[in-house]
Amino acid sequence: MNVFLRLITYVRPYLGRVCIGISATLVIIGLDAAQPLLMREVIDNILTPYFTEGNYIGGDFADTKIAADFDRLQFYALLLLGIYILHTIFSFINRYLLNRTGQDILFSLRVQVYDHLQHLGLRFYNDRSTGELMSRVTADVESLQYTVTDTLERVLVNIATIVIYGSILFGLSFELALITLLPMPLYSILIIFYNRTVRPYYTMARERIADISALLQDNLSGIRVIKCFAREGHELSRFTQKCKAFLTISITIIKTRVAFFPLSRFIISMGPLLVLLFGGRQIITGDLTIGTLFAFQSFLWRFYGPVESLTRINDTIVRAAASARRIFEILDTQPEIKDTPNALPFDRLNGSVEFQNVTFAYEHGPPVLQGVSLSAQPGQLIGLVGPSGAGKTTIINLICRFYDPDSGTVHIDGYDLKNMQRASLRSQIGMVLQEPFLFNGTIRDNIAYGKLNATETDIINAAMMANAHDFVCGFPDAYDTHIGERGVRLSGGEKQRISIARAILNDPRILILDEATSSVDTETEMLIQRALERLMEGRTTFAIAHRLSTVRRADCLYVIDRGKIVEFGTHTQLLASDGLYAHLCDMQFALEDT
Amino acid sequence: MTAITQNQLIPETIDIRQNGDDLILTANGEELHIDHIVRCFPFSTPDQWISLRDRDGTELGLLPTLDGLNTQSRARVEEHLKDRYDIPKIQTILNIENNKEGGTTWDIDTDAGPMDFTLRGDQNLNLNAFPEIVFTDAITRKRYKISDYTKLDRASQKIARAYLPMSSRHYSGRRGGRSRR
Repeated sequence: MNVFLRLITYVRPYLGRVCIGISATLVIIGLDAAQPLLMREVIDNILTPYFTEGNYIGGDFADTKIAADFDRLQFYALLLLGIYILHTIFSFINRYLLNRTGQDILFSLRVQVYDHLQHLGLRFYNDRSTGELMSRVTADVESLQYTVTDTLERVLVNIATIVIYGSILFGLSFELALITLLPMPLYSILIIFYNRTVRPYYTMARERIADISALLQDNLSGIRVIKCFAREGHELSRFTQKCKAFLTISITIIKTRVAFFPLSRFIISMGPLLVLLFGGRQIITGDLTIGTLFAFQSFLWRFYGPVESLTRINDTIVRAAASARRIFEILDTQPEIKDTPNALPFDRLNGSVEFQNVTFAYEHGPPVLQGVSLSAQPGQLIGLVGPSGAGKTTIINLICRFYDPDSGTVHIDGYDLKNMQRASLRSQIGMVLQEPFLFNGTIRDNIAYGKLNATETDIINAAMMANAHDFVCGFPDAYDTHIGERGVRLSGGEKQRISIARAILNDPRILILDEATSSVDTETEMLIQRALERLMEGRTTFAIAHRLSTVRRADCLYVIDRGKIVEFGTHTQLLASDGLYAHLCDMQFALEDT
Repeated sequence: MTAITQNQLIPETIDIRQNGDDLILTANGEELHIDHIVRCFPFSTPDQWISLRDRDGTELGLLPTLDGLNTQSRARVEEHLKDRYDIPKIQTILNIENNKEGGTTWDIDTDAGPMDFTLRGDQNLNLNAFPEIVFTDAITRKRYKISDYTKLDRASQKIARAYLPMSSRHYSGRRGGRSRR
């Protein structure tokens, strides 16, 4: 479907409102049309008889006629006043309803895009930058402001206006009306040429803006690194380049526009010129009255106005289509992982997990897991160890069903994950990551993220279990403390304990610990470790750890190397078998001794 | 209100008294020295979950509410909370200027005399209880408040308006909005 027509479908829920708005506009057109006709009446039937060859002859008429003409003049003045009042009222109705609808459409479009983004899989995000996506949800949607309702209204109204005034022009003088249409073929050719030229430029402009947004987002997030490496000059140069690319395309658009609009205006101006020439000649020959030519000229600009307006609308449509295309690109992307129509919800999980001969590769890449089989019983602590890039995180991604295996199956509580609803699974999985992500808000908000209806009691309880309560109460605003973007005002250990409190409130049945204590000092590690032990109680836990001492007490350790499980067992069993795990332990303890 | 697993005190069973400079908590037959008393949720639920702490910051006990405390104990706790949380009330806003650190410096007159503070973004502002507005100095973390924005003099309101992210929602419940002076 044409992008703009697709955009128009968003009007459907507000059709009643739009119809009233457009009807109000039609009334306004009618009121506008009445004004020159009334003026013609005043000029031709009231005022003109008082002049002969430009000289005033009013004194030659009887007082009764003059008084009657005054009355008629007042009547027409009152009529015009009434028209102006109605014009104001209907303009308000029209502007309010259509602008309001435009805003409602933007609102629903923005929410729809955001909701859709949330359901897209990790693969989608791997290929795109955050800034670029933000640009689509904010700048691209914003650029559609007024487009849908205004454009629809203006197209309909202008066509109606052209038809109405065209008919009036033909009614006033058939020959002059034909002359009025003479510039139109040339005008149409110009529009077609303009559209073809400018369309790709508008698309490029949206892409360049997205590039700027992406670089900005990336650089502001990484401002510490930029400062540490003293790369401000380098980054400024990169940013300037992106801005220059946008500037170049903007200037090209300006050049195209400034060439087109004056040229189109020039072509249109030929109409009134020809009408003046032929109309004036008809007056001299007595074939046309002055009032008719006056009215014709008035209507002429009201006829050309909508024609010109349609040209500008065309430009708006071309520009909006560039943004709309980028928005629909997101909406048309289908999540790679979807619930099947018959997918079942998980009740409260027991927490048994089983991988059966699982093989998996990321898009177009070599297999990262090959024939992996593992199992975890409810409440067990499972350690995943192995060199970087071995496939540990991929196992976690499959448990969370961020991806589906290429072959083999992942079962939880005996159910194949492909047959289960993702939301009911993920709501029962908790994660504590190496770099905990906290939202810009208060400590209270962040802990309560794990349970949106948490009471103060729940929050304090969770914080106590996470060894966070004491340091939180040390802040002047305690749980109401604003922690800044990504929790920037907290130390790494504090952030980690808040994230543990959040996970405790979530009460997950399966817990994922991904290097949760790797980036903190020994004392904080001890506090976090104790908090984690409380959190792990009664839950199936998968812990990824490079620091092997933290998973020593695991019920079972799976040693993964190059996508395969090379050995498994308890810490003692694996040491005894003298394989990769024993080797990794030796290396780590040797490192700690030095 | 459900129970906290640790440290929760039952207001009816404890006593808090002043002994010279010391504030003494008596709970379960044990006497403990209170160094300071903090509100766990000073903005969102200031009257619930009051933490009694010793000099090292260790929690001696948590009061779910002050209700149930005997009169003397309640008076002592409220007195200490007042000392800790009673924040200067802004009476006039004299000037607001952008500063070099990317924030704004507010020159104000308060019930405790003229002062100034720095804001760096909306996180230093709390408009949740509008027309009361609480400011937190971005540098010192000290707080200042306007008890009722609508009762500030017109000149102060005019100065502040450009810097406060207020919407029509904040004015919908306006009471008067005229200057007292």
